[in-house]
Amino acid sequence: MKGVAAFVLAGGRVREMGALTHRRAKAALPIVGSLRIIDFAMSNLALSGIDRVGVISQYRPSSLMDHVGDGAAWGLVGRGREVRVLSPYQADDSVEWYRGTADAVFRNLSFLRGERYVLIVSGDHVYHMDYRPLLDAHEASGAELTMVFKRFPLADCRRYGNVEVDSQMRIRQYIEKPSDPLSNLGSLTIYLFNRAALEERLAEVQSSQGDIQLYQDVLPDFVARGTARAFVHDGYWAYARTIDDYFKTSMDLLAPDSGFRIDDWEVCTNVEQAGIGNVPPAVVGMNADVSRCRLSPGCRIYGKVSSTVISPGVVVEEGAEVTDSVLMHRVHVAAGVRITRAIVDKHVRVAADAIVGSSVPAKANEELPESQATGVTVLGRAARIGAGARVGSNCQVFPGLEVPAGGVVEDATCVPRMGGRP
Amino acid sequence: MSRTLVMLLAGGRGTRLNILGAHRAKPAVPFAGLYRIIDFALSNCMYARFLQVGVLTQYRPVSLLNHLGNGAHWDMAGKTGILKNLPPFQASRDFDWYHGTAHAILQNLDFIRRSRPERVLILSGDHIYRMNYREMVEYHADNRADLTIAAMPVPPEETHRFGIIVQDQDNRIVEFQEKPAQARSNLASMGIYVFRTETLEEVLLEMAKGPGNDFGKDVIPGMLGNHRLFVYPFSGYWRDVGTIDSYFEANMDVLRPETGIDLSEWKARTNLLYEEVQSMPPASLEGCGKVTDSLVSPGVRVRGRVHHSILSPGVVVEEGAVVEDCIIMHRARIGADARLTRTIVDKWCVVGERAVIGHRSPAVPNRLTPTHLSEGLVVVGRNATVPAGAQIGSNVILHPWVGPSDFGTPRVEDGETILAKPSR
Repeated sequence: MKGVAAFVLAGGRVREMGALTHRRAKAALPIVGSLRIIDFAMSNLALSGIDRVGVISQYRPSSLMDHVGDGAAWGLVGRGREVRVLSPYQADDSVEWYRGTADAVFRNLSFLRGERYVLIVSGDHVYHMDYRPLLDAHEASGAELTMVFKRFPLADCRRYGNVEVDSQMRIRQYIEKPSDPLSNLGSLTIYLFNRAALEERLAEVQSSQGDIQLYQDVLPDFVARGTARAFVHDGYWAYARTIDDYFKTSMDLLAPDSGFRIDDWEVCTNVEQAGIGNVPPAVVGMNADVSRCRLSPGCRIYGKVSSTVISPGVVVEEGAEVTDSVLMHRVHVAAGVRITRAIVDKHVRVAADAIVGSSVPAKANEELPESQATGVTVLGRAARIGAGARVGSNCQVFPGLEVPAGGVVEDATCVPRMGGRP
Repeated sequence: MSRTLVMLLAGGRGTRLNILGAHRAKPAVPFAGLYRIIDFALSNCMYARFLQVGVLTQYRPVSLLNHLGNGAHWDMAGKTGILKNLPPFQASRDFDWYHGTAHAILQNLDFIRRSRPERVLILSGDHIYRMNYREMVEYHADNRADLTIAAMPVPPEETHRFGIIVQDQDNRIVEFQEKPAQARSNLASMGIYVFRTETLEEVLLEMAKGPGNDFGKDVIPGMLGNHRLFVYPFSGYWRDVGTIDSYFEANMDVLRPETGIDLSEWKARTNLLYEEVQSMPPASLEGCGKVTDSLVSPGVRVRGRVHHSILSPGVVVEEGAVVEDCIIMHRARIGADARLTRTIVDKWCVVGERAVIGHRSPAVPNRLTPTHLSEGLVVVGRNATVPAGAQIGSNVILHPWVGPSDFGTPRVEDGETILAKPSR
C-alpha cells in the first residue's frame, strides 16, 4: 500500500485489567501462548503492504519497544520500511504527556513522510484484516475519512462507536457508546484519513483545553462535513477491554467454531522476545493427558491439562490438573495442583497441592465488578502460590506477591486490595 | 581466543540416509522437529563466541543456504560475526570440486589467510552434540599444540568406522589409525580439529604435493612424530546420524533426556524464519486429539492420536489417525483414520485416509538397498502422496514425489521401493 503510513495506538494505562496490566501496556499482553496482542495489528499492517508504522505508546513502553524491535519480525526493515515506537517527548512549546489519542497523533505528525493517507489502528484488538480493500473503497468514494465497522447485535452496539449511514455508506450521524444504538454497526476504531485533512483538523483542536480524542474531537467534524464513510469488516474481532473479555478471547482460540482462525492468519511475532528463539518443540510426557490445548515451544507437560492455552517454557508436573485456563511464559505448576478458570501470568510458581480458581461461579470481583464477573481468577506476574494454598474465584493476586503455604484468598477479592491504587 | 576461525564442513551427501539425504546436504536434514543437523555445530560455535565461520558446501546446498540465511540466528552477522558460504570454485590455476575434508580446506586457504586467525577450528556439520569448543581451544593453547583432536570412546565393534587414536599418559597422540580393521584402542576421533594456522597451512601444502585429500587418511598420520598432537577427551552425547536407523534412534533419544540429549538444556538455536515457523501459532490439540510422549512443534494440529513421535512444524494429523513411533516432517498431512507405525515422513507429504504404513514385525530388508533399511522402518520421501486406503509394509521406501499413479496396487509388500515416474 504505497502512500499510506500507519499509526498503532498502543494505549495508555488501563485500570480495568487489574493485575494483568499492572506495569504493562495492554498491547504487550501475551495471548495465544507465544504472541502479544499488538502482533495482530502489526501482522495485518505487514500483510497489507504498509511500509511505515509508528507505534504510539506512553505507558511503560519499554517492553513494547523490546518486542517491536527493529520491525524485522514483520518484515518491516529495509529500504523505505520502518517501525518506530513513538514515545512522548519534550519540545520548546510542549512538555506534556499525550493529552489523548488525537494529541498523540498530532505530536507525531513529523513521523509522516508526505504519505497521502494515514491509517490509524488500535494495538490491542484481535482480528485478521487486509486493509487494501479499505483503501480501495476509500479512494473510490472520495471520502476524507473511512471508518471500519463490524455488524454486532444491536444491544452490543452500546459498547462501541455507533453510526447511521445512508445507502452509499456515507456516515450521517456518529455517537460514541449510545444507550439507544442507531444501527448494528460498531466501530472497530480503524480509521483511514486523507493526511492533509487530518493534519488540518488536528491543528484546529490543539488549542482546546483538556484531553483531545479522535472519537470526540476529530471524527464528528468529518461526519458533520459529510466526508466520512463507513466500511464493513465482518471477520472475527475481539478486544481485551476487561479481564472477562481477555479470558473469553483465549477460550475462543480453543473453540473450533468461534471464527478465531489463528492457523490461517500468519500472525508473526518477535521470536526472541517471545522466548522461543532457543527452545525445543513442546514436550508432552508419557503419562500426560492433554486435550483441546495450544502448546507453545519450550513447554513441558506431564500432568493433565485440558482447554488451556500454554505459553513457552511452562512446566506442568505429573499429578497436576489444569482446566479452562491461560498459562503464560514459564509458569510452573507443581504436582497435586488444581487450576481451574485462571489466567496465570508469566513466571508464576504454584507449589504442590495448591488450588486456584473454581468452575463454580462466585460473585463479581469486589473492586473490578465490571471487568471480572465470570469466575475467572488472575495470578499476577511472578506471584508465588504456596503449597496447599487456596485462591478462590474472581480473585486477583497482584504481581510478585506471595500467598503463603496453606493460605486462603477468598472469592472475589484482590490481594492486596486495589483501593488506594491510582 | 578471539582469533579462532571456524571452518565447518557441510558439503557431504548423506548417502546412507537414502532419500532423506538425496535432496539436501546432510547437515540440512531436519532433526527433532524444529532443527536441522547443522544447528548443533552452529549453536556450539555461538555459545563459544566463535562467530567467524566459513561453511564449506558442495552437495545440493540450496536448502542448507536458505536455512543459514545471513547467520544472524547464531549471532554470526554484524560487526563481529560472519557466516560465509564457501562453495567449490574455479580459479586460474587450480580449481576443482572438493575431494575430501583436507582438500576442501586447502581450496580455501585464501579465505583463512585473509582472516588471519591464530588457529582454525575444523568441524563437521553432520553431528548431534553439545560441546564447549572454547574449552577445547584453551586446552589446545595450554598444550602449545599444533593440532588437537576431540575424541571419545566408542564400543569396540564400531572402531572400524572411525579414526582411532592411541595416546600416551599426557594425552599426546602417538598413533592414528583411519578406520582400522584391527584397532589398537577404542578412542575415536570426532572429526573436530583445532590447528595452529601455520601448521595447517604447512601440512596442507605438503599434502598438495601428493595425491592425498583427507585429514584422517593422509594429513594426520603424516604429522605424527614431527608435530605436537593432543587428544581432547569428550564424554557426552554425540551421534553421527549417518544412517536411517541411527537418525531414527537419535530423534527418539530426544524423548528421553536421560540418554544425554537434553534439548531444553542445550538451548540449540535454529532459523525460525525458514519454513515460516515464525508465523506459525502454537500447536493445537483439537477435538479428540491426543498426544503422549512426543515432541510437538508450532503450527501442528492434531485431531487424531500421536504417541512416541516427533512432529515438525505445520504437521496435521486428522481425526481417527494413529501415529506411533514416527518422525513426521514439516507440513506433512496424515489423513483421517490412517495408521502409521515406525515411519519417517519427509516434508510436504500427504498420507491418504485409511492408509496403513509400517508394522512391528519386519520380514525382509529393503530389496534395493538392504544395507540402508532393514530394521523395520518405512521412509516416505518428500512431497509423496500415499493413496487413500493403501497398505504399506515395513522396510519400504516411497521415493519423493510419488503419486497415486506410481502405486501398481494399493498394497506394497515388505521391502519394496516405489519410484516416481521419470517425469520428475
